[in-house]
Amino acid sequence: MNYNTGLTSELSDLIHLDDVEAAILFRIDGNVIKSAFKEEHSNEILRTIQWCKANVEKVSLEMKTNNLAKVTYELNNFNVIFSVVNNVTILTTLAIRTANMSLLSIETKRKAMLISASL
Amino acid sequence: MKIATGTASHRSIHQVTKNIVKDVIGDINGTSDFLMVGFTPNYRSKQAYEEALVKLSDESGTTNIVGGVFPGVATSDGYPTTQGCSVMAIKSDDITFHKPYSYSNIRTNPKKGAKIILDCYNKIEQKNKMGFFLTAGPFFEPDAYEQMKILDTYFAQKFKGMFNAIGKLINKNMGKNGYGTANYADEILSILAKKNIYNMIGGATIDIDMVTNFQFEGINVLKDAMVGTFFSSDKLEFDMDWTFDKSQRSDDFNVSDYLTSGYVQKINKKPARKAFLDLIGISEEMYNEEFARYANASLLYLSALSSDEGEHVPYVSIIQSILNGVVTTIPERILKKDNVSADFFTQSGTGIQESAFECAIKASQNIENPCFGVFINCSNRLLIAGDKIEKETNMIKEAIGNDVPFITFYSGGEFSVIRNKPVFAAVSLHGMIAGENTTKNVVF
Repeated sequence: MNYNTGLTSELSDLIHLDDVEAAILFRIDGNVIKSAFKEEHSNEILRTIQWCKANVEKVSLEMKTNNLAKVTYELNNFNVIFSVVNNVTILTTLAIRTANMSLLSIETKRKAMLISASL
Repeated sequence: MKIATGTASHRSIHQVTKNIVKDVIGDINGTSDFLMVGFTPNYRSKQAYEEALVKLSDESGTTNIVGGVFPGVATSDGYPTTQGCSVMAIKSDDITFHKPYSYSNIRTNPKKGAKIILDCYNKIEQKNKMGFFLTAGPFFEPDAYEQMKILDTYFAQKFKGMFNAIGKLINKNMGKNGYGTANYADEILSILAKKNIYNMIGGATIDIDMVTNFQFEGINVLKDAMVGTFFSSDKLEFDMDWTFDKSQRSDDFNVSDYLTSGYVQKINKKPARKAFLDLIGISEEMYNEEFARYANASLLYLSALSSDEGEHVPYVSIIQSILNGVVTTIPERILKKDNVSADFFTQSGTGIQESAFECAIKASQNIENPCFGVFINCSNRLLIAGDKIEKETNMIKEAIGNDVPFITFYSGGEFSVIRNKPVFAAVSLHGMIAGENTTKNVVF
């Protein structure tokens, strides 16, 4: 499996979960490495993604400084989960507000581990 | 003996099955004698699960397959998944894996289900036996509790005898329609224990979203059914035990008034819903916000009845704004005393990990060389642990040995017969270990 197909597949797995709207792999400077979205997405999702892009550098610095593996924000009717993949990459998962966060956290952690292994 | 376990995760059930065939079935290198299979519910269609089972059966060469759908599945050698499949494949001359049984009407006729299990058990001649069975678990519509409103009326408080009977009927009807497992599972356990079944581990399939709820027997995908099998051996021994997180015990309270339908009207002589919320110290708004997604079941605050033997039997309490009482998963068999004393145990991530270690240690204490294990863990414990769930797997490994393969299903009700005693518990972990005892038979 080549590198790009592998990443796309891992992110596609996440957006196949009912509660997940988008999954984006960011470099900590805010550049998008890979992303996957549900077919229909609203302006609200796009606004939330913009917020993620604008803030990922700040969030990752905070995570690095405090040795945090995962941070969750509630924003614009979404839960935004930032999971550390490695020193320079962050996996961001956008889920609906009523998402089952316990179950989702298991899959986001699994994906962060798999992506980390493939990078 | 060859045992292979593995967990695969992918959005496509075909890809998951392919990975399992490669990593688990392939590892056995030949025909398997038995497959234990747990899929997660996200693949939804019955046909998809059927095709997956056919593939697993074709590739492994066996139709001795038992399993079901669970919100989480795990094996000793992988990270747990909520979007995939876990399989344990066994090939062994030392164990006989008996032909799986199934019964499609378990919600309405548990006695018949128990008879099917007993018929299978009575044919076994080897001295060591262990049963494994799964039933359909909770599967109901959001408005299922509406029917219970009648139990809050003035007449229900006044004419208890009559309303006990009405409550039973309502509960039975809800049971038929997929509400809970307490009544039918506990009835099966009681019959099995009375008929001298010694050890049998069991659990209920569940989809937390209440959309997909299947049980597997061979290549058949069933709904509202019971499936199971027995393992037997003259050489290997089987043992099992159970536990729950008892680390944080708080208030004692009195279930002062109840109906035998598992509907508690009063706690400490006050209307049960309000008293329950006062005991756990949170407002109704906050309770609804936290637990609405989980059928309003109080996951973190576990009530447990004090039994005559000084043990605790945990059950789930369900608070619905439309009801003044509390719906519980207490089996009717247990509610026979006038006043039932109970305690709260607040569940925690750390407590759950420690109780997993305790369960595995207790289940394996009489087995010198464990060969494999099966664990039925509560899906509520999965929700409490979240992404720390692999720590529970690590604790089990620490207890039984790093190289001992095991499979874990996160179920919608755990129920076993343990050393001839029926155990129906909630938010608990039940585990069985198979293995050899070499020194026990030495004669000096």
